[in-house]
Amino acid sequence: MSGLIPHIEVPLIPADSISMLALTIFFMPIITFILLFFTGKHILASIRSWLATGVMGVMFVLSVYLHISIKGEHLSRWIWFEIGTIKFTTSMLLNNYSTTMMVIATFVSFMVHLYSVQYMKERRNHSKYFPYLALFVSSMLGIILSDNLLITFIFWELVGLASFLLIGFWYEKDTSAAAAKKAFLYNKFADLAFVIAIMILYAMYGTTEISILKELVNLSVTYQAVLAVPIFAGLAIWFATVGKSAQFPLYVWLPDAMAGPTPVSALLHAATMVAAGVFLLLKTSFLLIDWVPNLITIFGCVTALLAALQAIRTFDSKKVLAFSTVSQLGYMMMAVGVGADDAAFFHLATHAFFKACLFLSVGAVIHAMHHMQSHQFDHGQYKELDALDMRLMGGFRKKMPITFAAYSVSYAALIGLPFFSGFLSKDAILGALYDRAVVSGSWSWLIVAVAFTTVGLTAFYMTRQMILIFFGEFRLLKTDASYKKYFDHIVESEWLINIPLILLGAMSFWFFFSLNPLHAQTGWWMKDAFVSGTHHEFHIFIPIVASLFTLGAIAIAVQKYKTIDAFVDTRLTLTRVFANNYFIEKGITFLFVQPVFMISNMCMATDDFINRAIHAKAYFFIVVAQLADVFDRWVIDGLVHFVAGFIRYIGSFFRSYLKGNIQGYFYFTLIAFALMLLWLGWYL
Amino acid sequence: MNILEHIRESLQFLVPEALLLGSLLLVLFLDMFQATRKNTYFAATAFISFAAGGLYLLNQLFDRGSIPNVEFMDHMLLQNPTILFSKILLIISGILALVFIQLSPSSLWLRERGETYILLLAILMGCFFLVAALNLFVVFLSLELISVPSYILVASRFDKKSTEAGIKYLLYGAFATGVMLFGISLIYGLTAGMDLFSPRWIMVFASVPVFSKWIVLGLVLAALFFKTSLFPFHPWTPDTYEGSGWGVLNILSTIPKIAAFIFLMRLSAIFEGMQSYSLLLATIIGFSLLVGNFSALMQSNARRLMAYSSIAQGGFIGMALLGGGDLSQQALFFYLIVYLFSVPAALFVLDYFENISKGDAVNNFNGLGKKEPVMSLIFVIVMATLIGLPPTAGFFAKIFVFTSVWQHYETIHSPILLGVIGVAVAGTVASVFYYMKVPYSLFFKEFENTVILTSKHKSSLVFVSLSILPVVALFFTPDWLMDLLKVIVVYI
Repeated sequence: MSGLIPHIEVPLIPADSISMLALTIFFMPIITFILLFFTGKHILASIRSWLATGVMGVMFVLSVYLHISIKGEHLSRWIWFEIGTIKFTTSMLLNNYSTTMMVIATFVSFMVHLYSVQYMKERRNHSKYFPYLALFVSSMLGIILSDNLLITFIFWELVGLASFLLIGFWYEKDTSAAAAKKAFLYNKFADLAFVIAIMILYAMYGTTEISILKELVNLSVTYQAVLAVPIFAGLAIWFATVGKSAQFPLYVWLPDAMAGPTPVSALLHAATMVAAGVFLLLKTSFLLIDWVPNLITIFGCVTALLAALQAIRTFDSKKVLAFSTVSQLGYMMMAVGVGADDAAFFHLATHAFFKACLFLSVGAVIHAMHHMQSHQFDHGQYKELDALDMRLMGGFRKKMPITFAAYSVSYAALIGLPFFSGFLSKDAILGALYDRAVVSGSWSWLIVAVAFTTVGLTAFYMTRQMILIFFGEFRLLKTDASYKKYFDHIVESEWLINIPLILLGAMSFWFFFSLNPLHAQTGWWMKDAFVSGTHHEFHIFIPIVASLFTLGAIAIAVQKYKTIDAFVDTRLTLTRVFANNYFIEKGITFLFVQPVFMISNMCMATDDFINRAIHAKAYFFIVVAQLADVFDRWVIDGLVHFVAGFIRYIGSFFRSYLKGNIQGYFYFTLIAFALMLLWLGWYL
Repeated sequence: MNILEHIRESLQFLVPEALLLGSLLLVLFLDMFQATRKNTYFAATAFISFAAGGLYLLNQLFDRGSIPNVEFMDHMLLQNPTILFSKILLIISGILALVFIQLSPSSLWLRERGETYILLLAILMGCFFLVAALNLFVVFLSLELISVPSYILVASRFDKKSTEAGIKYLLYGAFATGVMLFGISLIYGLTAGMDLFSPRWIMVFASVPVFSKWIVLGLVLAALFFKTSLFPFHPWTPDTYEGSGWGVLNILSTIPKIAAFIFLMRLSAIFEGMQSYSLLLATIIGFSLLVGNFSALMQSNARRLMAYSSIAQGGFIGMALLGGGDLSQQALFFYLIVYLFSVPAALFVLDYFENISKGDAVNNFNGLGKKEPVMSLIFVIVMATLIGLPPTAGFFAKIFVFTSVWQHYETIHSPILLGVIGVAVAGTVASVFYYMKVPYSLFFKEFENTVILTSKHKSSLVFVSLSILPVVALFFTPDWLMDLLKVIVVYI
């Protein structure tokens, strides 16, 4: 089998100036992390925040410069370490995908940093917040830049670590700690698959360099070699992304991850954590052959639908957005599954901006709610208040117009209204799904149907959220009128919060991605990363049908929630199915956790049995030892004493001559010598 | 005229001996005047001659290719790289003895006298002639040149004990010499010659009847057994050791022994394959191991302990004589090198302890380990060397010796050799007990001595550490020395 695959040398390529620039960008947050982590509390909070934010801004500018100046691919590779003759290389690949992703990541991070300067002000544990963010961003950049699976895996784990630290940032809250633990464990479980993938690929091809692997796999495909290895490796890598990019059935950690600070959620959902999975899958898409893409499509489709359905029934304002992210990731996965890598990446890019904006604007509203709560606390009345519950909100449109504007623009982008970025990317994905269904038929049409349905569902739950938060009256007053005076005092947030909102909101318009508002063919700044729709046939009916679905859903939602009184509407309570995440966690517990406990109980019982046996053996030996002791003392010791006495006797025999005089010595010597010679003569 | 010419030419090979003689005369001269009768002058003179001789020998050894085997003085003496190397070992031993005398707390009377240095130089000169001897006549002369100064050295403390020891040593030495002379006369009668190493003599001796052969050999070797204190010529050892100072004891147990063993090795090389010789030697060595190791078990006096230990060590070194091949010769040199460094160290530490506790009974050292931890620790290492425990080169020395005997046993399958190995193993086990006796009392017995005197601490420590350092270092690079010795023993 391996005879069919020619060995490819791994050449070392020195880094050129562009690559050095990318490395510089990569190392900047690491330096920030080290600096802030260890000097932390000794620096003023404002200096801390602005230092981290400034570095991020510089990184964004440099990334933009990098993106502009890059032409084609820049691969650099160098020796990482050597074990005997085995050389482990590490490499960095710069192309349009990676630089685009860098621009997105650094921009969103920059916005989140700006937002956090205000949002996290005077929050507890502030000194650790910015270093963690820097770690998060640098790990993400590592995944983006690395062209080696092993290195990618290291940063992959670091992303996991940083997300754990940030989700559990307010770890004194039980929900935060539990959510962080859950996210960490679900991700670790999926990461095992990554390890398996690396082991499979290294065992088969002897390298973890992605670009070399790509050539080797393509050769395998060309030579019709046995494809089980790339198939299983691809499957394993996909499963790793199921964890990180929150796909069915492992997506349940993502809604819980909302327990972290809101800017972290924005970062997590837009540029770093979940994007890492999709980005890795796009990087290694050459491994997805045979039946694996179909599997990815089906799982993506299921994820998109289930998450959208759940979003409809959720009252937690952030969780709605979380489920929406899961649903959109499902879209991306579907696109990967049908081979529309560029569409998937395009959606990843557009989604990053409007989802970050949505999170930050909802965060601004939550910020206001928290303010009311703390005001009341200042006046000696502390009341339990779920500041995230949409049922208690309403009427923020007039109070916070800028936030509302930013929210509406991103809202429009998410549900895919024309003239907004989401319209372009969703159209590309739907077109790709349609094209695929035309070719392969049968169940693929079901996928297309579900995708369109989900478009409608998305419009529905987003409209619902918009109405609940921004329209109508402030419903908290219906339960507690004492909030009235605080509500009256609510004003627009500070500019540090508004500027990121405005900038991110602006990115939701079409012109930023494509000059043609209805099709992405005229994309400009992403260059080749979105390949101007070369194989995307333009179907005029797709945007029309999608828009009809959207409009219909909006109409229904408006009808339904126009005069809503949240607390009397029984249909708005969570059903058991939704509240339990479709029993996915219960299923995981039943399928994996309980068997493990069962096995461990069995092991314990076996162990117990062995212990008893050992105890019995020990008692037996104690009895034997007692007997042996007696034997030892009388027989063996006796023997030893006897031998020692005998030797002492011999010694004194030889010694006794020396006490005598010199004549005795002579006799001794002569007699002994003569006897010896005689004995020898007799012997010979 | 021809003879004189030959003698004059031969003198060029006697430069180290001439140096020793020159410094001997110089010390004698210095000793004549009150003004120059100083310890430092004597020591410096002796040291300079040692150093110069050593450097000259080293230089000769480096261009060994030009002098493979030179017989000179009318086939009386031999010059080859092995002999040069042996002389270097003797020089090192001499330097150690010299430094020992200078630092030893109990050797004040010894180092103040010019005679000490004269006698030491004479012993060394005798050893030089012994290792180079080709003729039984030279062997006899050089043995006497070693023995007579030794007698005087032992007796030179002029008290009852040392006089007794000296007299005993003298009488016993005279006895051994007599036996040897008797043997030499028989050999001369049997073979009409004393030129042991010449092919003619070997051929003639091979035709001698077996019984006469080993009786004669045994008699001739008597003086060498006496010098190496092997059974049955060992009884003088404990008495003489007990009566002499540590400085003298050190000279007696290193320099003549090394020379005698090297000469025995050269003899073994020509008698290789002659069963009567090797079995005679095997028997003697087996008994020496037995007597030395098991008698040492009973000793409570540090000097007597070291005396029996030196008999036992002689047995272990002698085991390397039995094999006869290259490996045995390397093993012998290896053991000798370990021995020449570790014995002065052991004796010096005992001297040191004796001085601070005022007594040479082992009990006197009880609990000193807590007062003198560093010295005691070094002493444990020294004792480990003599036992043959890692991490000291003594371990490898023992291994090589055992290996050489075992190889010899595999070729001739003599039960006597098996017996020697058995006794050596038992003796090694026994040696753990008597060698660890002193460390045991140092560390595990309670301190009970009230008389504690301080002494020159630092220089003693430095001397002991430096002399034990090569032994520890050789444990890590034994193959380096073995490779060197492989080159050296080729010329035997």
